[in-house]
Amino acid sequence: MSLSMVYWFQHKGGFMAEFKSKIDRQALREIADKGQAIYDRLVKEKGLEEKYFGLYIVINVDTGEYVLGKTILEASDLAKEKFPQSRRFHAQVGVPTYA
Amino acid sequence: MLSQLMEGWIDEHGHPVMPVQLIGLEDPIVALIDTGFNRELIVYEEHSQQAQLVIESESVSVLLADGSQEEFLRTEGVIEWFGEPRRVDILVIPGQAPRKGRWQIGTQLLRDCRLEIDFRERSVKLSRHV
Repeated sequence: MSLSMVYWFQHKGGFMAEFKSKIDRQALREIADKGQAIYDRLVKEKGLEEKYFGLYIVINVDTGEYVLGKTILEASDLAKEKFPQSRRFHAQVGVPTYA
Repeated sequence: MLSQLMEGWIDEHGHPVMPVQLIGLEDPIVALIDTGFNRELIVYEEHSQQAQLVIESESVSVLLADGSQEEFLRTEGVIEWFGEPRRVDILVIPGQAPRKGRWQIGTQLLRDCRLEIDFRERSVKLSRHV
């Protein structure tokens, strides 16, 4: 390998390095599927949308526990306090997230 | 009552945009002001990694404009907002930022603001009273 090629790999090649995603899409989908199933059960069995329309909900998808907040961050803080290090599903009650 | 102002512009595609400084990144990134997005901020994973945002197992299901549904990773970060730090809800698009990729500012981030878009003058003004 010539010196110029070594230079290219060391200095230019670095900029060409492929980005590596750390997001596990399958895991995200599994959290969302479990979270949505729990959400649907809460709507059916506890009248979630009639009682709490517009609030933000965070669901621990492994235990079914949930918290509600007036804002996204309030719900998030409550969830971190109540079930830290858990797999969590976020939604707004009765309102889909659009983008 | 004090009025605060942030300014953006209409980009080459005719979209209202505004620079957003995420704490942890060197430079601001241009974000599309998307009134069809009803959370706070969407960023690319590349930038979330650079800003060293804390990633946990948090998921949000999002309905996209074409009717499809996609799961986004959810996290939090701090942005500079009207000259002050503000903690925000962030959804992360997996992968590298496209060359002309824009972040998205949603309506929840704008909830206490007045947004004025003048397409003729190509100006965007975001104001709030404190």
